[in-house]
Amino acid sequence: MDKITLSELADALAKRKSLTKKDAEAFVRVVFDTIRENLLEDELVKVKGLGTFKLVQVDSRESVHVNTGERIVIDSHSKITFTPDKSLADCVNRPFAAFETVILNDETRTEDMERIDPVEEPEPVVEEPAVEEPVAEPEPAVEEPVAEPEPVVEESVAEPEPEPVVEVPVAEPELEPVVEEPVEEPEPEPVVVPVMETVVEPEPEAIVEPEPEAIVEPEPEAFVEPEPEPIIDPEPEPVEPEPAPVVGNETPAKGNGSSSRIWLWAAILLIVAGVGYWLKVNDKLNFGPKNPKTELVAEKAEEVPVQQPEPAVVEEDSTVVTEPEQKDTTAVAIVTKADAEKLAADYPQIENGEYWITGIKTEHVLEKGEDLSILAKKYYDDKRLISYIIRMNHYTNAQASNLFVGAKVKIPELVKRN
Amino acid sequence: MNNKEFISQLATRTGFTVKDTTALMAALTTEMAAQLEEENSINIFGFGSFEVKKKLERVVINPSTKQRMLVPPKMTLSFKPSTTLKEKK
Repeated sequence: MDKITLSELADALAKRKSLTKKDAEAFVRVVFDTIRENLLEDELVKVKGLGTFKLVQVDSRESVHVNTGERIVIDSHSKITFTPDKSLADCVNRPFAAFETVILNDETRTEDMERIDPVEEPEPVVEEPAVEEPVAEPEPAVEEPVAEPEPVVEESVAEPEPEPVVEVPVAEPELEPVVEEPVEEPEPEPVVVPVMETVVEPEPEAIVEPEPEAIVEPEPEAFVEPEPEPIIDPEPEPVEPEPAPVVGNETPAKGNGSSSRIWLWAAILLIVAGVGYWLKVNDKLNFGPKNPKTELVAEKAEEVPVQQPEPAVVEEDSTVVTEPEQKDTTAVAIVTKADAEKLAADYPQIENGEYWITGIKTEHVLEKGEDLSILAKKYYDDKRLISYIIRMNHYTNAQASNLFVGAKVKIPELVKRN
Repeated sequence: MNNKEFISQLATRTGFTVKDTTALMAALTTEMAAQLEEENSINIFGFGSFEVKKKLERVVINPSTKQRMLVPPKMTLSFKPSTTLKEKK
């Protein structure tokens, strides 16, 4: 750990090359002068066996003064970087050269990372079904039988819905929620919608989509519809979410006959304005005969599924993936944390290491020709575990590589971490 | 500037032959490597200092495969330019 100066370097060089000290020192001085001058001129100097010196331009940037908190501008300047030669880097890293990057399995440390994953995953999962629908439907648009199975698929996703539909009207018969809903719902949905409609064409499809669903089943439709509708209706109709459930509740009587007509309409025209207008007409017709009660129920039905499907969908997809993982990691964490505290108090440990040091296996007296890596090989059959021996004995790297014969080396007892 | 240009310029400045200069440079770098290997820092006045630093082992995650890897500890060589050199540039 000494500090070597230029003159000491020159002394060593003089001995190696049988030069006079004076010559050697002059030579070394010229070497570094040359590097420096060429660096300032050329911006790059390569020296074999040492490395590459480089001048790198740093752009000016704004920063905050550490003490005063003022904003200050750091001018652009150049800085010197040094990249050691491969041979020199290897030479310096020799004590650790035997180590290799190890791919880890489940371990305590990564809890934090896994906690982020479930948050990231559900989002695309929620969006995907929304994106898939408009893509999947345009093709079957002409054929009726193909169009029908799709709502069936949605049913399975929307299964938990019916219950809340029954519950809510009983619990809250007031009118207030009715006023709130139209305000609340359009907000979350448009967030999803823009994703679907980055392409211009999906729009008409999105409009076609709600109709058949509305006819076949009122429940899932309530959960799908709000997405496309806010886009079409804004111009003429003040009450946006209402029309959807209205169509749903009234039209089932007409049945599949009208659904085929709708599909034909959609397939032939595929025009936003046309279908939108048709929708509007349909809605107005249905508005009159409607009871206020059924509207209430319809809106409740809409409200509840809109809030619930998201968690429902998220759960279905993510629980499968994340839950077992979380259980595993927590189980491991409990075991290892308790142990870790105890072990860390008793013996030096290697953070994030593959093994725990749980005790002293034996004390080895170094003999001639032995070094720590040989001991690691002898006791563990793996010389990479030398680092645990070093750790156990609190050696520095310099000490570890310069042990004398007769030195007493503690050999730690190792237990694999889970 | 590559090593060849460096050596030839060094030769003209020191008065040694190119061959001698190459040999001397090789001796100098091996000497420096030997010192650095013993974790000695080399301090050249007016130029900068070479120092060996220890990097602890750490866990990294491959962002695309989400694979966790334990990167072993290692020793790296760092160079810190001296303040006089910093001012000149």
